[in-house]
Amino acid sequence: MMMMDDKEVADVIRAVLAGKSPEFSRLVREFGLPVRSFIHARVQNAADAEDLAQETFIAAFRGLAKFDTSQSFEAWLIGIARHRVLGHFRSSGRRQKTNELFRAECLARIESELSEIEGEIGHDPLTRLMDCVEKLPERMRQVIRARLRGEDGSMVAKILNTTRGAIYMLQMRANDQLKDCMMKGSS
Amino acid sequence: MNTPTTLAKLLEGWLDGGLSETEQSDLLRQLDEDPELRRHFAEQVAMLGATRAAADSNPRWLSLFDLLEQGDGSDKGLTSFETVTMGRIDDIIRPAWRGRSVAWGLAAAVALLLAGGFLLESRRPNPAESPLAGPVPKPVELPAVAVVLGGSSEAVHAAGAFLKPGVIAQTEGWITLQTFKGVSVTFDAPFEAALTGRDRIRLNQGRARVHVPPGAEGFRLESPAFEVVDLGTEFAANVNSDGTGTCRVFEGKADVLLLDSMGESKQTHRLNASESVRINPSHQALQVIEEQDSDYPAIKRAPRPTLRLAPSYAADVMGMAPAGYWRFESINGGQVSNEVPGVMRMQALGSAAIAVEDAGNHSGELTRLDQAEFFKIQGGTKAVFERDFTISFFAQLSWLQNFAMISAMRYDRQIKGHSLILQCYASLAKIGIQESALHAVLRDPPAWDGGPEIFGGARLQPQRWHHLAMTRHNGTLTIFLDGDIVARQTAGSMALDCNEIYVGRLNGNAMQSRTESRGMVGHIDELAVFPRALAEEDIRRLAMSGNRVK
Repeated sequence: MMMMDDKEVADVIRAVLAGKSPEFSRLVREFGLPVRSFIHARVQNAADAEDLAQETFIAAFRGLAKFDTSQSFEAWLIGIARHRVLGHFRSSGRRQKTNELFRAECLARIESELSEIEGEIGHDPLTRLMDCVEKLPERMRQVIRARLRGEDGSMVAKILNTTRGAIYMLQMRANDQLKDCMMKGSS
Repeated sequence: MNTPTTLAKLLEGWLDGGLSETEQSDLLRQLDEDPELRRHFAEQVAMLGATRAAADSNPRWLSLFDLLEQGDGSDKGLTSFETVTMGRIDDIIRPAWRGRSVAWGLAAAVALLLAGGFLLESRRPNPAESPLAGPVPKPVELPAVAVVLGGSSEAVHAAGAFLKPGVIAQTEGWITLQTFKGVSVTFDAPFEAALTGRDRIRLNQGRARVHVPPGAEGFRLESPAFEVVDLGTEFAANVNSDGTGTCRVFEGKADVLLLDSMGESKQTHRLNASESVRINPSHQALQVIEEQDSDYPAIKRAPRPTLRLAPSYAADVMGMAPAGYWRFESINGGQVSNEVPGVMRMQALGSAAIAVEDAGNHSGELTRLDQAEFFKIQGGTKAVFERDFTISFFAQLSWLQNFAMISAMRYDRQIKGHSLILQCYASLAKIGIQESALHAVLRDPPAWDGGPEIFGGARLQPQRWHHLAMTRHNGTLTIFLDGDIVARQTAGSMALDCNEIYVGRLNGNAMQSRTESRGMVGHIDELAVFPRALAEEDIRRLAMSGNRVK
């Protein structure tokens, strides 16, 4: 997938600000994946994560005139996304749920490492990720597939006819293999 | 605890929750103390995020789902992130008419609707009005998110209409919608609103009252200057043309968020029952005010309809020689009586109950998403599903969601899986369902996955009695809605091995998540099972005996 360079991004922003608002869709297409990856890594509920990603772009659209085109547009978007994620965890309704609180506490502890890893993986990991997923053993692919379909650990264990504990170990190994594969590709 | 075990436990808590407070504290302590563990866990979280984001990627040829599903095209209806986001941005451009007369704005909206442009067919703002104005994205086919429950004679949509994301406006009267998560919203004219998702509505101007049932908490009513986030409640909001507004909570509680020009939350106020707040964006202020419940419109909806059957209905069913027939007249000793003497016994479990409708009909009632409640049939079930079979019943869904209505299981030490599932879906983008659909699966041997499945798009409506039936005849599975065939496909003649039938749930494990259990919320009546395929005309005759049929 080709990435837009800074000049192209600046041209699109100028066009949007000049009244060609549909041009903004190019920025959504270009930066949708990094923004969504950033948010999906931090917000477990997929629907909430998608909402927050959409809201990130809406806020960017609203505040586009404030963006300094000499800076990185992706970094600016990620900054907005980070703000949205923090707001999500701060929202009082979610604070009261133990599981959400635990995730927020975990995230607070690993945020710097997570940002570091995201930087290491690189700018456009999608094609590499696809290649890496394809290389996974079938059973690990089954775990990822069931998870993406929204099944929880108990259900995935039933589908694969194993224990819940084994599922988390399989998931962990799949993630390890993916990470190693992607790091290799980015080096 | 060694690192892999600790990591697996962290993953469990991160993905599925359910850890004890002690386990959570212990894991957090270990994260605090062990930088290697933090790094390794962050790698896990980064990979989880990347795969999830890639699953719904665009363009389609890069979708991880396609790769994992080996190109079966099961998510061909997937709506791209880009499309949805640009649709929402379009809704932001739209309120540019604020500041002009309400009449102009509503006239424009009505003209838009008359032009058939309900679905993201936006008006084109004058470039002079906004630096962001200009042509808007072309409309795309998005799945429906809500259905109309009813409205006044001025309502722009009839009861039963399915609504996709887009603008809805009226200058007179009222309309009540229900999202596919069960959230009911009554708008009182004049109003303009945008449906932006199944758990989100944007009220650009006017008044709305919202009822959020258990299980749909988190619903958001957005407006240009503030947002109401439901925490399990009934609330109302009034949005004026200048962006000011009020919000009142009638039951439960909700958070009101004051937004800045970037849409960022700047101030939050929690409202409890019988509390109101006024929002003034120009002063960046939320002010508690005194109001009465009567200052806001009520949720308007028709009473729950009763099932009226032809006097001969029960005799007709018995004349077709069912293996089991449950009329849901009463529960005695936890049992619902079977009209057919024999071995099939139906138990009422959890808070499953018998409801009495206004006109006197009795039906099985399932009301709670947050509890395991269902009816379970045991004894003689395997004989019904050995070869050809028929299942026939009336159902009234409280709202449209992914509800399992009938499931047959094999439950013993070796096998815990389904041999049959009949369920409904509402707007499932991943499989291209735009509105609502019926879905059946047969499995031999019983399992949690796989097996021939059959989909049929069907206009199920909430709060309305529908007749549903499924037959298997010489290996062909047919699903009927109100006497009409909505799906037919070869599914095989295998003997289905089951010893339990669940009514209103996928199976009986109380610990299951909602996704896993797909517990139905609604009413069920006149359930009959036959150890052979009824003729199409017999199915039609049973369907026509109920009052809900055309």
